[in-house]
Amino acid sequence: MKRIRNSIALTFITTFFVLDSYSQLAQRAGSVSKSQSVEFQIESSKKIDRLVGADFRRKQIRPLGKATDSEFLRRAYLNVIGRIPSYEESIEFLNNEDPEKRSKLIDLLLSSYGYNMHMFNWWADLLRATDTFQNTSGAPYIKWIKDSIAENKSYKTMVHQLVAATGGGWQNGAVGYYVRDQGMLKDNMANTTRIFLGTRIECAQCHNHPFDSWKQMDFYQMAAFTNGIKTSKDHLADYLEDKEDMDGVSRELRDVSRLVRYAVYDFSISDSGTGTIKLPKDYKYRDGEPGERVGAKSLSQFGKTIKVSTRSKSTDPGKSRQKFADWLVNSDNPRFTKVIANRMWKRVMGTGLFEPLDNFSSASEPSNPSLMSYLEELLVDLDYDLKAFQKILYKSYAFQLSPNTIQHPDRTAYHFNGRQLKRLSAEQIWDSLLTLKIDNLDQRKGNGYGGDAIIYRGRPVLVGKKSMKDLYNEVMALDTGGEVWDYTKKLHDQIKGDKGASGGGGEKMQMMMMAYNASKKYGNEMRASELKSPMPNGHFLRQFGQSNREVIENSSTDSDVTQVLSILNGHVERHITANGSAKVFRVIKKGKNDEEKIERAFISILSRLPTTLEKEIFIEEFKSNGASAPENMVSALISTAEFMFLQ
Amino acid sequence: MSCIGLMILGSTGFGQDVDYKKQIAPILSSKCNSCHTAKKKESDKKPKAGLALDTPIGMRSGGVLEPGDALSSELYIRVSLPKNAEDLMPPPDDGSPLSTKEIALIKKWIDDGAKFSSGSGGALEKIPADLDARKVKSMPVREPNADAIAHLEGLGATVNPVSVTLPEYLSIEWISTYHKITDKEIEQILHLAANVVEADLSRTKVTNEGLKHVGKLGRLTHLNLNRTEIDDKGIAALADLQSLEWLNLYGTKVTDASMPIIAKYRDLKAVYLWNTAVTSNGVSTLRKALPEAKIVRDTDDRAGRFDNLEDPGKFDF
Amino acid sequence: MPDKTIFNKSDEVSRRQFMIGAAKNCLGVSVLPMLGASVATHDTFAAAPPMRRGAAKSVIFLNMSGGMSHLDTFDPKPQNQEVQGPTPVINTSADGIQISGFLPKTAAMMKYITLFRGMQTNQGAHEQGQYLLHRSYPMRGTIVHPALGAWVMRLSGRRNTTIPGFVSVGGSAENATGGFMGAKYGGVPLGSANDGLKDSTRAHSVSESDFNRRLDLADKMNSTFHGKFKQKQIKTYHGLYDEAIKLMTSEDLKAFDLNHEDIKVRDLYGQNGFGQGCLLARRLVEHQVRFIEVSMGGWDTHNDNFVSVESRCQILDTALAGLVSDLERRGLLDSTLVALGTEFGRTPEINDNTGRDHFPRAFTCLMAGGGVKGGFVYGETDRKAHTVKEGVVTPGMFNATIGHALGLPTERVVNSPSGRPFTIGDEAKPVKEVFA
Repeated sequence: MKRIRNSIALTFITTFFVLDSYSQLAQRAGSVSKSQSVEFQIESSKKIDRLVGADFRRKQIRPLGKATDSEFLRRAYLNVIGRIPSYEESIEFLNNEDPEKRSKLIDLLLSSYGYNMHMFNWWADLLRATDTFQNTSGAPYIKWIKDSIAENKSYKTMVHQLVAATGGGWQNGAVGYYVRDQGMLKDNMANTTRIFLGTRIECAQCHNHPFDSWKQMDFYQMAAFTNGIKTSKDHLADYLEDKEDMDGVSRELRDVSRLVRYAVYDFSISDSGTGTIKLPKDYKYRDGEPGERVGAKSLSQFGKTIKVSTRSKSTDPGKSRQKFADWLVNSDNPRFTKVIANRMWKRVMGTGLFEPLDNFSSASEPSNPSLMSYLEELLVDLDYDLKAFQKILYKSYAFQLSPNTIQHPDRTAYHFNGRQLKRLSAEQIWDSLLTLKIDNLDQRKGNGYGGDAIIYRGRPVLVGKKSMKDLYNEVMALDTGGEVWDYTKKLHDQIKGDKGASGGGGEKMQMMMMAYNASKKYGNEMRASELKSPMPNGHFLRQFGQSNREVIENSSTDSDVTQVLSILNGHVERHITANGSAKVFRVIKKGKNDEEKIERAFISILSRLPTTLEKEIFIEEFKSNGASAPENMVSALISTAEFMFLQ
Repeated sequence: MSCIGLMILGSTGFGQDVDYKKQIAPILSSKCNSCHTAKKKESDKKPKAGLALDTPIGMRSGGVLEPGDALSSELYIRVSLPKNAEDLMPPPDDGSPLSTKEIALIKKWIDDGAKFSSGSGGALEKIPADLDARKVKSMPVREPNADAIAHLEGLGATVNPVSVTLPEYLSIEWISTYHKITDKEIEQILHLAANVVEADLSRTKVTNEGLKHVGKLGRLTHLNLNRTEIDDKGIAALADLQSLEWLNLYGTKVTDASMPIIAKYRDLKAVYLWNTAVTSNGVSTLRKALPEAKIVRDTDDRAGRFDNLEDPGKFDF
Repeated sequence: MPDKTIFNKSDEVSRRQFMIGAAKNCLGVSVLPMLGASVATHDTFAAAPPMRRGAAKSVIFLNMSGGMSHLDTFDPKPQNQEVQGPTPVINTSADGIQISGFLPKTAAMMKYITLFRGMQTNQGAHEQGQYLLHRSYPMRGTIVHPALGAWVMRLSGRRNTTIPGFVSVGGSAENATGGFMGAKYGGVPLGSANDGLKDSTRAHSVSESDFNRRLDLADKMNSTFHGKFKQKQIKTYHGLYDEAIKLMTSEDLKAFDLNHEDIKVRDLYGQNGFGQGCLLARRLVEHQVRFIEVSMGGWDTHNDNFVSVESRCQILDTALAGLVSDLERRGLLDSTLVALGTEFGRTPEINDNTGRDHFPRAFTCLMAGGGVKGGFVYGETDRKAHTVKEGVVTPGMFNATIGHALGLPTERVVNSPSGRPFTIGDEAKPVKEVFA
């Protein structure tokens, strides 16, 4: 500890900020329910450690020691908020002598906006949240997810709202869950089962499952729950479409009409569907006839079986998805809790209690069954509050174990005697590199891709006068084709006459403008969660494995040679190494001598001080190569596996 | 994990090298080769999954080995799966599983680099000074010498069987190392003289001298010399290559003077002469001698037409 | 608080110095970074040999994106003016085969070409059609199927291990996806033929000596880390730096630089994006790249079909004929399969905007070289080019045929990580009749 204090001055401002956050947090803790009380949290963390420890004894495994402060610091930042700590944040933590500092850091990080940002990436991968749907903006869906994270909505509520979503996207963004899959609702059902029940039934779409017990009939009965759902007032959308093709309709008017169709009518869901479905024409099993209509029925083995129809007719008109959602999130349904508890465990601890996360078959067995059932119990106690759940895991001793030097083979049970090394995700890499480039990264909140501005031909119009939400409400209030067509023509005139933003518009409108301006102001220099979802193919984030968000959890942490080239010669060289005004160089420059400069670089990039030998190597570099030594040092440190892997 | 690791090492004899011929080949031959064989049977079947485990070259090219890393090698993974696993090899119905010791041997062998050769290179025999194309042709066709292959690979060559079903017949080429290859390296092909049927020497630094070595490769059917410095003298050294079917000379200095030698390749199916000094007279002489062969000298850059296109007049354009 | 690990000072550094010296002397390479991974392990073995002798070694896949009109290119119906419209029809160098008069140079090359006139799919939208064309499977929300090039990488591997084995020029980067097989098997997308391989040369902001110093410093750092974490993933990561340097110093990198080509050759292919893409493809084939896709858009001719198709054809004709003839005179056509595909054809009926709309029921694709017959037609449509009378070929069959041309085990099953079985052509069999 002494070393740091001697060589590097304390940054008092940061300290103050941190202490202030602590006190705020303590106040908040006083007003929460018992299950979220500090005592409960401490007890629960200990219980987890006891269960992990019992597993060690059973399997006769010796756990590794406790991670160093540097290891903990870096791990906590990357895991909880998705980026490395800045130089100031590292210094603050490493110099702090409070014995409770690890626990306090967790509190601080979980209550920061960085947590929301990192959590969004996770949700976006899971829910395949994209900025654009087939013909329209997906912004409301993205916004709904971000809002749900911000208010720390319970997981159970969130899932229910998604699966039972009804209404228009600009009222209720959750309908994006279905709208994004227009025309492929069967796949949507396979995905629902996979995400929330950890069970893969998509094979059974075409044939009885070869290894598991699912039959094609099971698949169709599940698919019946969402079959036949429609967009609202689709006859009015058809009316507009016909009008667009008439002679004398200008291209501008046609585009306005399309905007109304795509963003209002197509981005909505009117009812719950028929609750029945026809078997495929080539159905070949004895339990049904080809083309026969069957009613919705939930999978067996997942709590109490429910039905919403007879063979041919709905018995609960308009309630099919509501009842399906009730069944899905019911605590009688054992898999629902197990799957999310395991997902969260993996998110915090790096490896799941069972893997793969979403292919739990009759043969799967968690590596530590008693821990698994305790986690399920705990999550129910916490009423599916994911943040509170994660906090308990983060405060366990298990989270603080040293990194495991041995790589654990895939597909075998892991007993958590140490942390598994893992390459950073594309988002973590992007966000960490930006941490080396600019200050106050987490304050850059942007939603430049629409917000709720009306986007016409790629640019926002009627800003400060009319939002998408207004447009939605006004259009949906109309009942005849004629009214809608008149409205469209009027809207066309308004857009044509629009001379830019109005002065007034109130606070809400100003917010809208700010969101739109964020992308103009910062370009792409924002956290991955604030950029387009996903970024276009070829972008750094995609190159490093960001999910295309078309398939569940489709991100990749595979490394390939183009990534290395980008580090050596491309993006990293341009934005960091060859960029003298990048933050890391500003920090290094403040070092009084070579030794201090080296220490500052190590703390900025690797969150630790150099070893004696490492320092010698770089002092030699400074001696022999003065002018370009800082650049060479920064490039070399970013090129290490230590930077690229979460320990 | 560490317990298991120790056990495996203990049972194989710590520190000893695993010998492919003595220790690995017998396991494969008793447990795997009844399906994974390149040897054609009466039914003329291909080896199962296109994978022949009865020759080093078949194994190397089967995509089942990651030298130095058993845990990533399909060969090790598939034999070491749990007894009830679906992908276990050999399939439980068809053969008995490998013993723990055999599995451990395979693991150690792969982890040590999956070497087929004896390692010292000492097994390489001297190339006989009086070797010629006729002698080469009369040699028996045997499994290629693994040490000779390793030797040539050490010189930057890529050596591969011409197909999964013909593991004894090799093609040799210098990919991405061509610019460093001289007559000295090319002479070393003679270590595999009985096996090499295709040789790609394009863009190498081969000279007319070097072609004297090539002229001894009596089994050659395919020879690529494009963009090399050779000329008619070099072609003269290839007169004995009577099995040649395909010869690429584009971008060389050969002239009409080489045509009489090429005309004697009775099996020749294609010869490429673009960007050489060969004239249309030379081509007609050749065409008379080899009416069936494709002779490509030039394209007409106006319409992308070849000069040997029979009847260009019949097009409508 | 400083890390407990101490460099094993004994001989690591000196051994590395020795290796660097040795590399300089023997290989003429100026740097050999990341010791420990430098004894490259994974790519030491050659690519898998083909299933049969004489199979093609490379594929150039020409992707006609937007839906190429079959009537106005390779399946004209001169006897039926009603569907043919104003597009002229000409004879070719192959007896009895006629094609569109917009393609005179290709007509001269027809003796090298096999036409698939019975192509058929069930996907009438571009994205879905392109997906099926490239991956043999319909688009699903539950899995990403690998592109054809990734299948080739997976089933046979790279021939030249210093440069990528799968490159896609122009068009969507989706066409280069490794899908569930992972980025390892995916292709490198190039925006255009002149782009070169991204980031493959040292940045101007770094001198060569600084560049080498950086690698050396990182290498020193990594040797401690790797000493502590003796893991495959770490070794692999270090190995990528070797591979990157191998690529940066590769003699074959110049394959990506069209400036090495004579102006006459550049003209032969046509001085436009697609033409130069085809030229790049030939250069890559010469450097043993396995699979190159070159995309050309603009075939979505709902309006003014005949004007648009004619101008598209001028580009295609020059490039395709140039490519085939250039490959042939270099002796590469036997070992290189040129395949031209499109997601669907266009309606025989001419619409009100003198255009043609999407038509998946019948269209034409083609192949040349790589052991396929020349001057051959597989499949036939009726007199209106409306339905396939015989020789139906689906994208899966087309892709299986490409696989067969390369001597790949087309029946081999590759499982997705979740255990679902897939094959290169969605279980379709290759069309063996087209091989000579």
